[in-house]
Amino acid sequence: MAISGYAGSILFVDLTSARITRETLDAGWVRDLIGGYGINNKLAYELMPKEVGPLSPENLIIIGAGPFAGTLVPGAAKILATTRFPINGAFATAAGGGSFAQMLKSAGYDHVVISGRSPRPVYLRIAEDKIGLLDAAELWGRDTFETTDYLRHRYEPCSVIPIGQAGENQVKISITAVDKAGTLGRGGLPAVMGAKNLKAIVVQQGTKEVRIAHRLNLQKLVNNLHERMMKWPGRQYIIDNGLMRMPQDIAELHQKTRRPLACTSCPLADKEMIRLTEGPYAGLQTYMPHMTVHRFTADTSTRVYEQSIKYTDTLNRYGLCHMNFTSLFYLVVRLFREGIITGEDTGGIEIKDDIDTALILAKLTAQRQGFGAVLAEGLLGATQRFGHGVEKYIEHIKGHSIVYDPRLRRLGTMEFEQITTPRGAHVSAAGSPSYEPGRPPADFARHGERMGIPPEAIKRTVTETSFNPGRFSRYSEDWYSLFNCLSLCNRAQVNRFYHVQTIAELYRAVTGIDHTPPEMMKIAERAWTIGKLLNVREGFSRKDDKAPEAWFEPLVRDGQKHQMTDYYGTATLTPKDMEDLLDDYYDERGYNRQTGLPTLARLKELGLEKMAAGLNLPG
Amino acid sequence: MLTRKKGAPITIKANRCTGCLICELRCSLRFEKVFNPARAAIQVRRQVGAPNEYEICFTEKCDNCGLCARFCSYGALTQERGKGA
Repeated sequence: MAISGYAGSILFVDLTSARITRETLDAGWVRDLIGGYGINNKLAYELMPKEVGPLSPENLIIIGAGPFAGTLVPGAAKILATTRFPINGAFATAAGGGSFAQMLKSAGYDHVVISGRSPRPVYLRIAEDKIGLLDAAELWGRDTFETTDYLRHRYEPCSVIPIGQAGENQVKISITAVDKAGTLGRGGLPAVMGAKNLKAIVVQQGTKEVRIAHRLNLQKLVNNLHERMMKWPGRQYIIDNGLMRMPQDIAELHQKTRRPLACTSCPLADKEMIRLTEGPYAGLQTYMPHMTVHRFTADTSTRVYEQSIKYTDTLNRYGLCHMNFTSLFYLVVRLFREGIITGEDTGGIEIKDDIDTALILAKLTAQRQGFGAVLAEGLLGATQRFGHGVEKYIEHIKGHSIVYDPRLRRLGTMEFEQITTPRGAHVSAAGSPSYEPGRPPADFARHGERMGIPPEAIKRTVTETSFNPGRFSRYSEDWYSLFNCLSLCNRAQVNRFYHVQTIAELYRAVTGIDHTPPEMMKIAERAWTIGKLLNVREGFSRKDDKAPEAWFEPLVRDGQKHQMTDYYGTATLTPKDMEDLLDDYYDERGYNRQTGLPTLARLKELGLEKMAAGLNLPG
Repeated sequence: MLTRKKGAPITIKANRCTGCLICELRCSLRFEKVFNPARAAIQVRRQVGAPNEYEICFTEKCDNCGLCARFCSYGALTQERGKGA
């Protein structure tokens, strides 16, 4: 019988041979890595050789649901997808919401390992013992929402990970959404699926239960969390508006057209369904993780709102990453305006900052047609194709557009950790109190204790007047890793309710396994380190952990110059300051400062020394 | 099998349902001592393409214990105060 909290099985699907096999989940892996992100990384390390091309049949897609998925633990809905990403060749794990994780457990699986390449377009159906690769010829060419609806009509209740046209055409800035709203796979997970001729993965609600080791303890812990979340003053704003702050005029329009949607087990519904009933896009019904305002050239609040919705809907349907595509769009608007690229480069398209141009370019990109084939390569690939020395205009980290610009927000952990994460600039990889401005140092110490940072490390990291984002980020990464091992949502609005002690108690209640908080954090570090080693094996090192040069130049926004400063705004940061912070980060990780690589000594402490073979790591 | 009802009827406002499934998880834990929405006495069903995303109904197993309403975070399920189990 499986360990409580776990389904107990790994499903293996080879698309080339259509062979389906199952293996029992290794109890030792559970002990050492918990599940989800940790076991995904272990599977990737064990099963994938070096230098596998991201779009080759040998690349794997490893799906994982942690032990909290399918339980009442609030926010335990994350499904984790590990692969080698085409945008930059990095191994990384994407996390998405919806109900896929819960349904996968109910079908009897904790993980799914997908290999090979199907000779024809198929979708993978997971229904307990009925695992099928079904013909997707009818679905090929359809967008993400159409694909999801098609499968819902056949298999509801179910959860769907589809790809849109961008994934089919192996666009490197593709993304998808679980159940239409839980974004998953920025950096081209859908391109990997497309290269495998895999149009979608659908999992049906099964009859397998998630057993609980200590039911009454779990109820008590969950009830306490639920009550605190329900009483939190910030909750109502999220229910009414979603996560994003926006101007009042836009917010009023937004509230009239949206209704909240939640991931499984979450009392803080932040996703949304939107229906426009008036204007040029009347009748549009769409889904999104959150609202993002785009002004283009719209001249009224209503037009701004409608165009923002239309733009986001279009990208989500094609399966194009909102952040990476938008960065590219504004880059080409600027290059065209300044005459650096012309109609000769764009296939005769006049590039204007308006919704119509944005929609045309989105379509061409998703279909890899004309100028869109250039944009489909992402920021790095596209600028190399442009020539004209335009590389100096782009701001990226490992090929991803910047999510948090420290010139506008100052340098907190989320800004800093974009540099060190193997995935490249990304959201929510390193939360801390610096998510909000102006938090006093005492808050960092308090939250550090909550996140399981050892007291002596808090002393190194937080002073009476400031905190060190390099040192703190190491622990934010481990905190994020722990949540991903468990399938727990790491949004600031959710994780603020969790203490490492609570997590250890929840884990004991769900699984019966007794880990102390320091043991939980050591597992989180171990899981994160395997993810690091996957990338070390491919040649990534400190040379790749680079802040964009533009961060050291002022950013002019609305006529004002913004310099990158420390979180408290006391000093403008120089390249030397950033290198010092990176030294601190590697030091706090127990890595070699010069190379940014894990030391053998640290790997030994984590029980990972066998993975060092062939990596030429420092002592 | 008809189960004797314990409490007041549950009032449903399906347009408030967000699909979080907390009610189903609570219910399956109560009846089955395990988690599985498919084995709950309350069923939240997605309506593909309909204006209300979800339809909510109860199986005959439901005894109006009120657990689902007590923990519904969005006001989709309510039960007259004091009438639940």
